[in-house]
Amino acid sequence: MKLELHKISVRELRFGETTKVAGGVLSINRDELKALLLEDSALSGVEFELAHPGDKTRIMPVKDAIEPRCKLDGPGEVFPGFVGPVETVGEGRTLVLSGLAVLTTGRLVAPQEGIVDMSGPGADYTPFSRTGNLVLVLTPREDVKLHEAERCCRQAGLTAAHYLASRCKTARADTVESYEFPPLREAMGAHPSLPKVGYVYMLQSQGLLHDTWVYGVDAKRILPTLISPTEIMDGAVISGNCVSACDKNNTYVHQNNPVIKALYGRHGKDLNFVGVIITNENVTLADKQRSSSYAIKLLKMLGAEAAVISEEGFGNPDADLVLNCVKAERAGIKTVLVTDEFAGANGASQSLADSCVEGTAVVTGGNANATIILPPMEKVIGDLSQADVIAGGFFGSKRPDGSLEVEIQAILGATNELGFNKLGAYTI
Amino acid sequence: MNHPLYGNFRPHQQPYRSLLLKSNPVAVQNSGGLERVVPDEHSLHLMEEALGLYGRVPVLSPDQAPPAYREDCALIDLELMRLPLDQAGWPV
Repeated sequence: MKLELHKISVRELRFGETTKVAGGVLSINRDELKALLLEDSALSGVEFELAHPGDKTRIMPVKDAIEPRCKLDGPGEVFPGFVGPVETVGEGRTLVLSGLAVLTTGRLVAPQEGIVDMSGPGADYTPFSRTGNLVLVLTPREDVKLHEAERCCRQAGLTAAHYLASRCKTARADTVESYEFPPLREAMGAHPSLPKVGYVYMLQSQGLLHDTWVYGVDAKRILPTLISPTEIMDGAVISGNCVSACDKNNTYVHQNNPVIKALYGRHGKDLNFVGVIITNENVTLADKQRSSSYAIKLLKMLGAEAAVISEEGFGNPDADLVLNCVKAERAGIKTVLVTDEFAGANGASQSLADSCVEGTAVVTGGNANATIILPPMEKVIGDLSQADVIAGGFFGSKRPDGSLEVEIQAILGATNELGFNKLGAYTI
Repeated sequence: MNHPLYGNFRPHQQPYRSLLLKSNPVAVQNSGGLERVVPDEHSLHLMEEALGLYGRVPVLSPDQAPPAYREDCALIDLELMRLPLDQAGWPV
């Protein structure tokens, strides 16, 4: 499977008469987009806001972030099962509006994520302070049930992202990136002197507001499976995860998975990147046992000698992470785990809800319990009162002057477990 | 049957926590040939880890949460219990 990403750099967003991109400026016809989104009868209202890096703007609570993409050619369309038909994607050419994100906000339930500050100390902890953002402020109809309200908000973000990209098909790309995933027969025989490395990509799948979708299928209902990294780039995996902002994988993060990018970068140099296995994180113990055994079986079938295993979420997914690690290691497959920590405000408590002696190589996205005071912002898009109940906030988070005292758990992407962030650390 | 730490909420954020237990005793024989019943070790381990967490952090009780927040948390708790209840033969 071969995919080209044709990237158009966007540095500024404006509202205008026609949706188009020129000279790095994306103009958006908001009436046209609004009419498109309100074709979904479950929505009663949509408003739009723009937020650029450096703005004194806070956006909360944020549900999802999506990078605008559309197919230029090749089978199917991006976001299969939601925008595109359920045809397999990941081949041909895909247009990307780079430097831009669609963010969705709106109230579903009280305890939700997440905060994006476009400037100030909080901006360092979210990658979306560095994108130009079209913010959709969504209002589901009052009479729709929560499942339908979540669906329509999720759909609106994907529809808007596809709309923006599809209106820019005639624009010339600034850069083209090419990715190839050969048939397994070739992959197994290529680079015989290099270790075969697989990637076990864990997806949040606990229930409403904690879900991920694969080709339109609820990830709770899948068995672990092989998937081409190029399918991920075409939006085959999208987020329905609306809680715990710090370590959820937004759709944008799935589209730009840095683990996949890093493995591609080293493929043929010091490793042979043999495949991606997506697996879920169901809450029942039987499903955890089934999925971990099946995922590691697939790794063995690939002949993997090592595997990177990335988690999404915390708490019970830590048990999935440990099961995947233990079973891989006992099968002779060396593992590197990528996770985050809930180690208490001082970092001294046990970081994960489960552990194993086999887990000797672990990369952390950071301690989500570290606290931060976010100064008041001139503009708030969304609902500031949610800070009291936002995951990572607590009652009294919102101060009289409009500042927020929260754990970095509340900030979108602060401890992302794919490493999709700008912060890092090293040992001196 | 379900992991005690389901959901992405911590003890001070979610006042409701439901646990589905199944009686499925495992009988093992000791060296003397006598049978005894033991709990599933993995389940016990996960419950002990979860209890350890609850012992270290603040816990939100329902009466401490505003009514609207309480109702939303109850709804989320139900939603996250759907799959375990369905697998137990008690679909919601």
